[in-house]
Amino acid sequence: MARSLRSKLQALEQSTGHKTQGLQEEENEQGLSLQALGFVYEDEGAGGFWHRRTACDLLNFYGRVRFGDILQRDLSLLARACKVSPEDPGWRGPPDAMSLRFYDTETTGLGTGAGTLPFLHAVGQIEGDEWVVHQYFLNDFQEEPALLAAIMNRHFQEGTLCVTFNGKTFDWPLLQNRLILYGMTPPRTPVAQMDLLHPCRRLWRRSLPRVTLGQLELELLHVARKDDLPGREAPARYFAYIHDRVIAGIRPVLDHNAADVSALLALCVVVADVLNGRHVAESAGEYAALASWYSEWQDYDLAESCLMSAVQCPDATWREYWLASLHYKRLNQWSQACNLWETMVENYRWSTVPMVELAKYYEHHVRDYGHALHWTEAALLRCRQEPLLSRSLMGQGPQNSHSEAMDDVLRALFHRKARIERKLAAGPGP
Amino acid sequence: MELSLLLDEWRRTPAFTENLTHWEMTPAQPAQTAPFPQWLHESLATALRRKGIGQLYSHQLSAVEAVHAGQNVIVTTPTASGKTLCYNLPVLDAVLKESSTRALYLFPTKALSQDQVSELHQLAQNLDMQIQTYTYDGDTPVAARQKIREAGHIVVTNPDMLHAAILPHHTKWLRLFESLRYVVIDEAHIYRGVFGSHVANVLRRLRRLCNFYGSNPQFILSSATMANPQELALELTGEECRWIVESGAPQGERHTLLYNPPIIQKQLGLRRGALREARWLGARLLSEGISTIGFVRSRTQVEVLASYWKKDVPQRKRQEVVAYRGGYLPNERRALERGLRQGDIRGVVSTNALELGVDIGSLQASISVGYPGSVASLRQQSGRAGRRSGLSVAIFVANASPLDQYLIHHPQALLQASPEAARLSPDNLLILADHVKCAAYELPFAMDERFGVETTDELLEYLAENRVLHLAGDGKYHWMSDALPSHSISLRSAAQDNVVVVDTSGGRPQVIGETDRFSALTTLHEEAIYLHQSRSYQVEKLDLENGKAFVRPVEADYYTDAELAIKLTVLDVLAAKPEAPANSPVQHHFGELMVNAMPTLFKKIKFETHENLGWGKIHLPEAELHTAGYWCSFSQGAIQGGQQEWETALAGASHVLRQAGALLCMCSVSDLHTAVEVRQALTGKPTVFVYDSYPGGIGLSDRLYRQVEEWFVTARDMVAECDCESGCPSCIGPQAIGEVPAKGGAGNALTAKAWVISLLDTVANQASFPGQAATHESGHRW
Repeated sequence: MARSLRSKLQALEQSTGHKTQGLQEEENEQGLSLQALGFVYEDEGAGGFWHRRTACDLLNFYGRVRFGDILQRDLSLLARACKVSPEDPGWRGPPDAMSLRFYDTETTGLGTGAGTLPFLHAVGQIEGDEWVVHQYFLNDFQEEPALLAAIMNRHFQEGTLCVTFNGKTFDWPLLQNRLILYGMTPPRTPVAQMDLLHPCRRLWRRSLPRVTLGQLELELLHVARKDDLPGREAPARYFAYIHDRVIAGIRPVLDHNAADVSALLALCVVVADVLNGRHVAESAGEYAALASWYSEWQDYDLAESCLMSAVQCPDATWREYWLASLHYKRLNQWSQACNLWETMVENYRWSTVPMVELAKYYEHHVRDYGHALHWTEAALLRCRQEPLLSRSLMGQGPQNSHSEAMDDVLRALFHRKARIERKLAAGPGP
Repeated sequence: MELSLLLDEWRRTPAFTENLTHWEMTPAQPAQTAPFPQWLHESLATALRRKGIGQLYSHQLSAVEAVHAGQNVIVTTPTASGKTLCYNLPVLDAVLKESSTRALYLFPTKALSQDQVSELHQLAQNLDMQIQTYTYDGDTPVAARQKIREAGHIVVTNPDMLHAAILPHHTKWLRLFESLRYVVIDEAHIYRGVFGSHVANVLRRLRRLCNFYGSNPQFILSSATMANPQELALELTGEECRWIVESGAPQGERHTLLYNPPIIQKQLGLRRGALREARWLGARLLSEGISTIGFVRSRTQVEVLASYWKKDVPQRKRQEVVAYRGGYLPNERRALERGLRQGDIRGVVSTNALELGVDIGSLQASISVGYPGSVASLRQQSGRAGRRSGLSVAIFVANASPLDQYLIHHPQALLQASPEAARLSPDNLLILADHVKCAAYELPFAMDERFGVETTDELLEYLAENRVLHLAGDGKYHWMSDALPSHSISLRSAAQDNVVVVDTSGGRPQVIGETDRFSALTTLHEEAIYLHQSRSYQVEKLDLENGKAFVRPVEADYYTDAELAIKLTVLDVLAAKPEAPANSPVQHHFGELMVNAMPTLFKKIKFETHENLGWGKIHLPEAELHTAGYWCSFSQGAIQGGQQEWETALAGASHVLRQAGALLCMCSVSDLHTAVEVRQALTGKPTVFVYDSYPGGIGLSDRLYRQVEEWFVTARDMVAECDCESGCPSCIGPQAIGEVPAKGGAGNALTAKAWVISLLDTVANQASFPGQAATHESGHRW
């Protein structure tokens, strides 16, 4: 008798040692329901879906930020830093806090392929004098089209601005995937995206071990969530829920998701404050980030002052000193530049570049060939004394570099030395 | 000296001609042309004329007319007959007429796709309209991908990218899927075996998505010649395809020489080495200024033969000879290809890397050293020599293997009807289940949806039970895992759970190879010698659980040969013939087998002398393989021998049936495994088993069962025509030799070779199928 396909496949998979992995059974307490957690089954004519509205007064705080603070902030620099620009089709002028939609999802996986689906969406927005978090939970796959339609119609109308953390490449494209899958037309003008991930990375990658929403919350907002569920566990919780319908397992995911959008608002305020100068930067990392934004926006004065502040901070690195010194050099402010170079010579024993700069300065500007020779010889000495360390001459730090680059630098130094000696022999400078 | 004079000289030299088994001259064939079809877009006709193409060859016209009429097409005309125009023409025409039209080109290799894109660009730049053609593969910059998804009229990619990058992200490819009109599959014969079975399922997924987006693309395939192009096309695409085979391209006069190196030791049938013969043949051709390409089997041989040629040609011609093989950097390869096209390079030695249609222009002579594994490949190799006008010569130099020796004595197999058929098995359960998972990730499955097999619903239920899928309230099966299924499924690996070979000697562990679990038992057990690129490595540790074998290079003058205790259990007989075995000496079966293999011990065998240097035990668990197999049970009276004779005959027959099976199925010998039982457990009869070495079977033994007579005749001829006297390792295999003592001179006593032949004859003598008569003819012999 022919074996059934199922028994064949089972035997085959066992024989190859390849077993289709299922989920672990999980014990859950009974008795909770979506209603008990505040969800309401709504139907707008296109089918039902589960929605929860959580509101609080704008006077409430998330960490050290009051929700209402966002209304008092100028968000235009933040928008620029997030690369939301007037060239975007969705641009509706400088962002207005009322048009912000703080968006975060929980998904069944980390990929952005067609089979990864957001099973929980949170949209936070300001309604009157309230901060409101709307959550949409996919209790059954068949509810998805109606749920998506509700999200798009209720929240992402024209002129809204979607604020996310890593949503530009993840949450938003996933939402678009789902719309395409159900043959729903995405909005005519694309919703502008304000993704806080990149500006946060620029500002705090030096001071934080990992630039994640959780870390930022802890460091900047001083919020330590209690019993928070790590995001990576969400898919397994959802699959378990889909299978056994025990609500307790999914509950932490719902709370985590709601907290995330509140954190987004608070983070928005903090980043805007740093950019607007309301919040005094504390570290060279922040100043360096600000400086690079200001130079991108061609506001060189501000860029300069940020660099100046950066070198005052204890965590200033070679890079900030170097950039600041070049800045002074460009502006012909030689004494400041020389001060920085001399500090660098002291602080960075592997670095010869500041010595070369000093030699150039004395040779070409002051025509003090004695000093020029002194710095050239010092640089040569440093190259020889600490050959491994001083290899990195192009300023990338003391590690890796080629001995070829080293040879080039040595050659240039010898060349310089010979030239200065010729000049010295020809007679003293003016 | 001109080629014609050289050929005349060879023809008049008996020392040369006595090594030939066949000399075939194909007279020059004029072009058969036809005007452009009426419907062709004017701009395209003008662009073609500007390129110097004023007419089409007859096969091009038949192909484009068939496509225009809405048919799927497979074109199998020879190399350099202008196959690419057969698909470029309808595609460009359609895009010109409707600019939203999209086409997808699938090429098996990267080099090929680059060439085709540059050819398309050349044609397209003469058109009124900007036609966007892009290659989408692993090298495509991320920044360019967005544009390709949106705006590419023609997207050129490979099956692996389609599987892992395009289909799972189909929503980003909305434009492509909505308007996909043509799917072009070049070099379709590459898609056979496990790889082909995967690709067929990838195409099922593609069609499923097209259906979702409302498109229904036509398929245009091109392939090398083989026995079953339409069957292949149907299995690959799921659609009936019209076969275009008659070439209208002009062909210069060509000579095909089958060269068998002379025998140097009569009793063992030892011949002079094929590489040595290729050395002087090539050197002679190159010295006469005749451009020549040599094809060899391995990378090492490439370097060896190229250095021989360099040494043997006159000093001034040395820089005109080059080696070309995989492992060179892309720009090195491009430079060599350019040199060949422009004629700065006159001699080149290659592995099969060049077979695949990379544009190098054409040469005057080709020399194939040894059978490359399929007649299709051999034909593509000789197709490298041969121009549209002028004389060319293709020389096949056989080596000593039974397959080579069989083919060199059967010129019609090489030159006329190809006996080999590309086999794939898209419904192999494991492969199918893998792609059902991928497909479910891409789009949920409706309960009554069919994916390849009628029993799709059972498969879906099974996956749902294992919580890979979830049957939701909408009556659909949804993907239920946070993993991307296509990531863990490789189209090209033999089995899902393979064992990688890791060299731990360097600073960083390096993966140097991989093998399936079943083979790992005998090739990667601890202390085994693993041979890779002619270097010896010793296995230090085999971690079967995690699929890793750790090896270290060693200097060893021996290799290891493991013994497996094999137990075969018949799970299910799917077909048997004849149905009533009573009045027949043999009965053939096809069905499902369970193979239990237990490695027992291994021998250390010295290279060259094959002395046994010692042995060791293997401590590994039993392995189980469920697969499809063929088996043949003989009645006790089928041959008039005792236990020992039966053992010899079965061992020899299984060895040669495996070789012949590989020839007929266009697969490598290692894709088929064999086992024999003098008394099979169930029937008590002497039985030979030949089964697919891939879990679930890949269609090979199924094919052999259907062609069993032809198969046995081929096997019988391989043994009978071997030049040895009483059976040698190459014809009846090492196992069968020496089991029957040579009874020289004792009247009617038979040799091992004779026992094997008489067993094969019980089937081969019954053979009566069309086209077989030619096989016995030896009139072509010189």
